[in-house]
Amino acid sequence: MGILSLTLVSMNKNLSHFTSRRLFGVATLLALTVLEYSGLAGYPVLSATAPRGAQRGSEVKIKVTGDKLADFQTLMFLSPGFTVKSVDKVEEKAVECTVVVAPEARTGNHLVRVVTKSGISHGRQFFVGNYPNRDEVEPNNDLSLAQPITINQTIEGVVQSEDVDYFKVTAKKGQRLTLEAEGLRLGYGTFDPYIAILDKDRFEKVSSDDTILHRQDGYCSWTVDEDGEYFIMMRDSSYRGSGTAFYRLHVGGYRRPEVVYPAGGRPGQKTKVRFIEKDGSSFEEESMIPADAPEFHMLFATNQEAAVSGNLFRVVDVENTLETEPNDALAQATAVNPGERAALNGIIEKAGDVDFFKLTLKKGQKLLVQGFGQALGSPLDMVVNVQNAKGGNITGNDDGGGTRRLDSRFSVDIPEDGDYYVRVADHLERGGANFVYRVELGTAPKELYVSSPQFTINDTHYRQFIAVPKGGRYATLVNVTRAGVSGDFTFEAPGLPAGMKLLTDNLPKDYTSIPLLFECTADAAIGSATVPLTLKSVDPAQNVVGRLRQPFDVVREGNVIYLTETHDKLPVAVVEEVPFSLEIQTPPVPLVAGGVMNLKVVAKRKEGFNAAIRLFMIWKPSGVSSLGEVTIPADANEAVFVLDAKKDVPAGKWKFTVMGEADTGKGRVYNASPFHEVETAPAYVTAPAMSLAVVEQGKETTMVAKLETLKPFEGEAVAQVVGVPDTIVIEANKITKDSKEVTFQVKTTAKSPVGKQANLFVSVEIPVNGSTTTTHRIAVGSILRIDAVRKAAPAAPEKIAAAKPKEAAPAAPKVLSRLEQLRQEAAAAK
Amino acid sequence: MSLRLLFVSALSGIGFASFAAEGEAVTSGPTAAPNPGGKVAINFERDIQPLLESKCLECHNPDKVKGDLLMHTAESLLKGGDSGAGLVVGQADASEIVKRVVLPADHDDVMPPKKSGAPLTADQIRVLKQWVQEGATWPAGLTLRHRSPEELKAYAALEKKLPQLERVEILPARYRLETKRDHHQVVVMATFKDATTQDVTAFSQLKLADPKLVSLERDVIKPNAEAGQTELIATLGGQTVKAVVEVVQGHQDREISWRLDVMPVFMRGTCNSGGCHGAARGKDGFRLSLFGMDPAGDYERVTREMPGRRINLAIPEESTIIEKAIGAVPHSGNQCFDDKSEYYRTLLEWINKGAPNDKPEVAKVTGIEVFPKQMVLEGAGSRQQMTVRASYSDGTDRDVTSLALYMSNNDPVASIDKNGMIQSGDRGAAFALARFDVYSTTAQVIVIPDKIQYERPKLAEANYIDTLVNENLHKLRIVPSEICSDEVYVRRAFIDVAGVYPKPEDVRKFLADPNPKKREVLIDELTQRKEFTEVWVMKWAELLQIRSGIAGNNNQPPFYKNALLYYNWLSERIAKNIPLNEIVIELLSASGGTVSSPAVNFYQTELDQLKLTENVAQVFMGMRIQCAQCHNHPFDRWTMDDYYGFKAFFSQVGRKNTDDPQEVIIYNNKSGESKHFLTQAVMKPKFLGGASPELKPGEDRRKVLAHWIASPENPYFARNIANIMWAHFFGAGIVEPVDDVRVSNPPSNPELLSALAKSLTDYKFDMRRMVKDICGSMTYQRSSQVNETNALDKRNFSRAQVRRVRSEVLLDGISQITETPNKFQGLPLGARAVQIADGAVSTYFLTTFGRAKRESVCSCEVKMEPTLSQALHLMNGDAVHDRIKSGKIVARLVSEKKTDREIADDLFLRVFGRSPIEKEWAAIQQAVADAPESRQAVLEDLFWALLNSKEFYFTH
Repeated sequence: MGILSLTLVSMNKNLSHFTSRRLFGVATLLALTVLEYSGLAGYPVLSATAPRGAQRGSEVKIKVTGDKLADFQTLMFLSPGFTVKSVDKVEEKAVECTVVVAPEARTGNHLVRVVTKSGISHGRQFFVGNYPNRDEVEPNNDLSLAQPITINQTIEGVVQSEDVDYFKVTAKKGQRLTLEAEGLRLGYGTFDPYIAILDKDRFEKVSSDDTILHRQDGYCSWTVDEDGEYFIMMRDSSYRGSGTAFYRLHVGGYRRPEVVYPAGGRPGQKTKVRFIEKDGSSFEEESMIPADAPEFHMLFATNQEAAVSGNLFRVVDVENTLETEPNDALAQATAVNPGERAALNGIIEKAGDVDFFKLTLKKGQKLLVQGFGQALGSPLDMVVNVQNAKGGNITGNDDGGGTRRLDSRFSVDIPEDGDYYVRVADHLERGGANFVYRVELGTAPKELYVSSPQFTINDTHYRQFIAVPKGGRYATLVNVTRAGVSGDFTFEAPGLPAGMKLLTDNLPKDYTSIPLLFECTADAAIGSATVPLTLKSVDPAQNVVGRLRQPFDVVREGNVIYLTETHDKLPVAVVEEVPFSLEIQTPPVPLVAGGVMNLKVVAKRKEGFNAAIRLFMIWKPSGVSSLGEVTIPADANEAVFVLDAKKDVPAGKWKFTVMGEADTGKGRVYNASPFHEVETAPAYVTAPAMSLAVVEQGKETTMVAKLETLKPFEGEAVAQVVGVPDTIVIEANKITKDSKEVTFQVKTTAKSPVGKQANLFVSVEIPVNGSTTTTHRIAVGSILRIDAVRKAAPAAPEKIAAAKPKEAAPAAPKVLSRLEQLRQEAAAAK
Repeated sequence: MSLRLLFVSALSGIGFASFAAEGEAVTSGPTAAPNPGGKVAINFERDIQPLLESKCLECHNPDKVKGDLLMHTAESLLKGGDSGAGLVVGQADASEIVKRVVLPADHDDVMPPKKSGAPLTADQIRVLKQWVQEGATWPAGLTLRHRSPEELKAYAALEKKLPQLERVEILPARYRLETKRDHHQVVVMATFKDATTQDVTAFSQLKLADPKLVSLERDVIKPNAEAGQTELIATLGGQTVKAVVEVVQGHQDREISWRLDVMPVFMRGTCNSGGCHGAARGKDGFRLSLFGMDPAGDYERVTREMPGRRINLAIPEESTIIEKAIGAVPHSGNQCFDDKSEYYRTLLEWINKGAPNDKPEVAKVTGIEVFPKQMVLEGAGSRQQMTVRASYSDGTDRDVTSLALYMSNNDPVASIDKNGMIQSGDRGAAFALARFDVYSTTAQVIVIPDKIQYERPKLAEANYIDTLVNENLHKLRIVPSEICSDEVYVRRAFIDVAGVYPKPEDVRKFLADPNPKKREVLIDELTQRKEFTEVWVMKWAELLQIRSGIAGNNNQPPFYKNALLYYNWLSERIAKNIPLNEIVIELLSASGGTVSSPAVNFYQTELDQLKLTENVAQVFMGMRIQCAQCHNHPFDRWTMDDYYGFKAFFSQVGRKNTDDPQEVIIYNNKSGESKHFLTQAVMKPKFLGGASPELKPGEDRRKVLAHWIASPENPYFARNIANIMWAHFFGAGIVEPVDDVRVSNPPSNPELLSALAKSLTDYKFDMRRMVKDICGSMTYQRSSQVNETNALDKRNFSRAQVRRVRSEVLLDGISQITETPNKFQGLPLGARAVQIADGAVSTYFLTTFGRAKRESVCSCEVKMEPTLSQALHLMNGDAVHDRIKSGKIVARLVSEKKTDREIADDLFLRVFGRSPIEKEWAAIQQAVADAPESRQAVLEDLFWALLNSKEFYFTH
């Protein structure tokens, strides 16, 4: 996970901090499966690439397998350093192309997508490493069949079910052998690699299953103690495996640090750090932190061969405070120079160790305390507490989340001026040379970010790209998260392909979500780009820049998420024209508070296209509800969303768009309507629920609504009780702005159902602008009760001549059992 | 003792002279030969006591006071009854007892009455008169009792055995009578030279040194004075034993107590049993706590629910609780006791006194003891009274024989009635259990046949196991089977120790080895093999329920990976021979992630604290404490306090998720308490059957527990492990089932179990040494061939049991014999079934043959019973046929130009570990000769037949 997080962070340089748990990763696997069975033909499917990574500074032939690839355009890498040099072969289900990986390409994972003329695929991971690829050759599942390899190679292989892959290397005494596996992170499933170096007698010299840095993927390093042949084993940790349990296994001779200390520093400055390995051995270097380094920077050794993946390093512009041992008690606490923010660094060196830091704080200060342990590759399961001068606990946290679940994160309100102590410990009271931590505390940083919600179950990739048809539009929704940030912002999406523009410009201050609508001219050229989406404050005094922070699952099985990744760029493409367009056509009357309005969507179809079109209501303002989806049936051209306003809906003008999804026969395509403005306004009239009306079946009664006119209107409005079945007839009535009440005559029949007709309301069509009306719902919650016809008082009973009881027929002689006979005889004898 | 003999002879109608002569011959006591002149000095014990006991006391005893006359003591006789004093000293003719016996035989007032038998003989009348005339001397303190004809017969039998008498004991050996309410039943037991015992209470001369201090009635002593000390003296067969009797506050009364007096009546009357008012909803509107676990609640229910009815303070006799109990009004439970019983008196007294509740300082029962603790009864129909003494927290004790409940674990061998009278039956061993308050305890009853032809065999003993087993067999008069042959031994040892069938070369090598100690050598070799480790890893994996997919949901840990890691963790430790106690400590105190610290998976296999508590008790101590979750254990000592006190060790187990969906971290949460189900009181952690440790706040309770469990202070751990190991080699534990240690299921050979436990502790839980002890013993080497004395023996290890081979070993055996590899999910090809890490992984074969699913800790998970489907699977399934085909053993042997004999030998050795006997060889030759053209097919059929025979899948 280290690599992934680093990767990501490099792309998110200005993100001030992470709050989402699923921070990392670019997922693909699940996406794929979903695509396959949903049969999204118009959009390309990227199943796999072979190989799944390459050496940097090399040219690699990549075979892409998938579906709907016939109109292949290019591979879209979401990070720099890749050039598609040539497309060598294009078929419906496979494409071959040559990609140049720049020497400066970052090692680790990169997201790649397929772009065709009709769409963009889900993404997949592509890894860059230091060594040339070498394919695994089966059979190698026994030591006697071990595949010979040399050091400084990356093996690309697959672990079949219950498969064990063996490789053989020759090494000299004193030589270092380092293994590093990329398995789970490749994103092809829950493959959980187990790697080991074995001597010729099959004894494991060193092995690795899971690591904090790379989760299920492991690494291990060992210094050879005797010249000879050694075996490298790769298997699933529980002898599972499958045709997609791919791995990349780096076999090198580099030192493999787990964590660095201190694990953070200031941008643009040199920091002396110690790279600490699992066994506690370490080496020190002075590292230059780039001025534009992301908050989670990947640190590599520079004075010796660097590891395939680096170590995580926090970059924030705060002076480091390093613990000074002993600091195991309040009295020994390391003093911290309190500023706006502080960064405390230390190591829980032995079991049961506790570290204290002392700060002087003011009453009313609100501090955000963020712990970084596992997020930096440390095995520490931190518990951070803030204590007062007497050692009393103010507050604390074990697992507050953040980038990793077990790291701490909490806020604290300082109750009075004085000295305070920050206490750091391991939850399980463990410790060790690599139990590094960093606690950043201070005023919570301001930030603003947006992200799209998940549009379908268990798939974070569905509709998470912008593929705008020529002459059409594409809409998506983003949710807004603000932390200490207010005011209006303006969207910017620089670098959109020619002919495409983002129609959404302003993010008003009170919006918690907003639709993004992209539009393309009819003559735009087919093309693609990765576009950063940013938000600039309208108020120039506010320098916070909003960003996209879109999480994707990398590995997910059902609802179990193994690995996620976040991106800040939108994959955007201009695709071929689609055979329909949409428009919202609704009269310009307001949607009144408590009222309803039909939002009519009209489709314009191209000749010959008559498939059904699913319409998605991308966004509604708060206080307005509607179905999320309706369908224009095949051969029809219209559908209606009923907008339903709450009583307290704020008045305003809102831009609505709906997006259509249709299957062209070749696959699904999308086109959105242009924005259509809908106004919400206060109601003209209102009424409380009508008093309970009770009527016997077949009888008549009246229901009376007491009206209150809020805003005068012209002419007559029609009021109608809504919600009763056909067997009850309630005639409509008319009202004017001066009506104080309206009476409805209720007629029932013998067929009218007995019981309560609850939730009735009065619908009032109030004329606006002459011919059009706006619909109100008033007297909501009225009840009509229908009783059964009361039974007439019982008539006096008729006098009936007392019937003579029938003469009882003589009983047939009872058949006696033998026993009974004997009993009777005996009784008689007495 | 000749005196008793004389009266028996005289009064039971058995020839006087002959027995007297015999009696005289064997005793050297004073003689009282009849004076031919007719005038003989009267000896009370010789002449008068037998007469009164046989002719008068049947009706004039404290149980049955006819005519208000008691004749069991001198005082009562002098006091007399309806017709005045019983006798006038020195005036025979004025004495009622003389007047009545001389009446004509048809007179209405003649004594003994007509229906009670013949009138006294002239001689008897003469002796009686003479005695009264001469001053009616009555030995001080002597209490008489009625003698039934059966007793007289038993006494006659006893007389014959008296020369073998080894010792006489008064049980208990010391009495302390506190307050006038106190009393104690006395039992006198004789032990003979052949180790048999007999209840001789009725036949020994029992008297008190100072009858003014203490009285003795019907074997029950009661205080007569305020304080003092005297002795109870019993004489039998020339031996005299004494027991100290101390009286304290003998004139004062102890207040009747709800808890100490009334509650036991509900228990004894089974009023509060599960089927009656002890049911969760009570019975017919009246509820009592089950087995009286909640005296406070019961007090509330009896006195406060339905006031005036359940107990009637105005007319106590009309309290419903009393009327129902004695059946005076209709009662679903019928009459529980009668209005003469002490139970009735207790209830009545309590209500009479205003149905008081106890003062808070009321004493608690702290334990009970039974007497005698062990007995060896000879023949069917022998009887032995058991008494029960309870001790209390205030230092007092009470005889609760009449308040305890009794049961036998083996009624055909020894039954016990509700008064604690044990009666012998068939040969064997049984345990009589007494239960009072929350305590249960047992006495061992061994029954041997009457007049058995038995001579203790001279048996070779390899080690302490043999000594103890043989001693026990001797007690039972069982002669063990012979030592088995080398052929049998090698096969048995391979299967039991290493879980593999011996290969032909193994058998040949062993048989050819001339070393006299080759059996020991073999065990040494086998215990060093990896397969030995794997067998025990498998067994522990079963007990620890190592499996994935718990709750049937893959997203619910443990995952397969965790199960595998957990198994490997265990396997590594056992392979390294890390002592089991250390493994258990590591396991129970484990913290960390289920992937990074696999031992914590123990806490993931059972998330429910109650079940976890029960599992720990069952796995590591062999105890099932489940009952005590809701009520005090009915057949064991465990109370709800014990249960929830033990549970408190697990009440602070914390769990949290990690970034890895497969991993959960187990940690010490440092908070969380165990609440008593009934009282909701927070229970302090208390070791099961041990102390309550001092804990610092936040200290990991599991660690404290783990260290106690595996320590010598825990009396159960080593015994449990020893028993589990023993059961593996003998097919039955010394306590059986192995995980059902309880008072009412005691070990069949307690000394053996203790010795094994001690060895195991001394060996620092080195299983290999223990296995060597067991497998090196003659007991293990016995044949399964039975003799007439041990044919029915299953629990005393006088012979080897024929046992079906467990499923994993059997499948591995088939795989090895047919040379075809196994394939299991999640394991490389060729893995052995014994190595399957995960209980959830199985095959049809393993399931059919009863592989443990590891869904519970119960020892019953592994099914060892042979079933029809097993036989059918071997016959018709792919297990045997396909493997014979794909293994190509026969084809290979044929192609190697082996002779029929060589091939048959090879197959027999592979499958049975022996060569064919003549008859078998003849049949094989015949079969081959009948179809010479299909020799290979015939030999393959032979192979199939061998694999389908019982000899293959049973070990013997």
